[in-house]
Amino acid sequence: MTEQHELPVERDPEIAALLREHLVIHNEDAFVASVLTRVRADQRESSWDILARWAPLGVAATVILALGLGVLLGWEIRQEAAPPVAPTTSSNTMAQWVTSPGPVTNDIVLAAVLDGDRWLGAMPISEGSR
Amino acid sequence: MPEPDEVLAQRAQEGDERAFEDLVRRYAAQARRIALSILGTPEDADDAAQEGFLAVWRHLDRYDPERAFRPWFLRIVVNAATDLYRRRRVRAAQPLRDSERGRAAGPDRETDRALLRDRLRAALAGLTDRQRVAVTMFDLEGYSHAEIAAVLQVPEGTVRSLVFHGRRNLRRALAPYQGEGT
Repeated sequence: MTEQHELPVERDPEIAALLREHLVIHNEDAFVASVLTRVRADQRESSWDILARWAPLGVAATVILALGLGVLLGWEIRQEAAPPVAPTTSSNTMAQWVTSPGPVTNDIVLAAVLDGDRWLGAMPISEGSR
Repeated sequence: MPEPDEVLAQRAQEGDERAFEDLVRRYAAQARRIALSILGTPEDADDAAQEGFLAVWRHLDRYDPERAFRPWFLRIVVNAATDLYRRRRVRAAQPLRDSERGRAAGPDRETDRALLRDRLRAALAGLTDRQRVAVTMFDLEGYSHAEIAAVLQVPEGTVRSLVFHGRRNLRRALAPYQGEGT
């Protein structure tokens, strides 16, 4: 091989022959098939990627929906299970019991027990009772 | 008459797998040879060429059919091969084994050819990435300076210089073996 000093304009057949000798490729069909197999696999993978991209949002939406339903259902159940609140009137007091002309009802007894301390506290306490 | 690359690429963009297959068949050999010139071993070259084709498939939406397909495609292949080469530089740049260096050309022609390939591989490994691509594309694949410039994204004058220096370095690296197997 001889040294050349001008910038190349034409192909160098000697270099081309050397490179052709060196850069030998085989099994072109197998290579093409392998590329296409990877492309198809990549397409399938892409579909899963799309699903995967949406998965966190889907999970989050499901969790929020489930929590919402749970809260709603729990509220409904509590509403159904809670005993009807007896209307408290100012008459369910110890004072009512004392002054009532009628028979003593359960409500009056309960009110008296719950309200007893307050009622007793309101009573004037004589020196002798201490 | 075969369909132009740009038409096939546009069809492939629209999801026509057959059109992409035609492009793969059309450019498989060139892509593998150019990758081989960069990487030195057929296995690595095939890996890089495959990666290149796969990258082309994935990024077809970025291709502008108004522009030439070939430089766009080969730039992707060259980049894939160069990346792989850099990852495997230590192995690719290994010098010839002493036993190979001192071995005289034997009577076995196949052995001589294998020896020449090893020497060429070592000589090519001594070039820069761009010199290897420029020399291979110009002298072996027959690309014009302008096309190589588009692939390497450098001015045409730089391509001429790359080919010149690449050839000179190859000749110098192979000069000690003149008359043995070449």
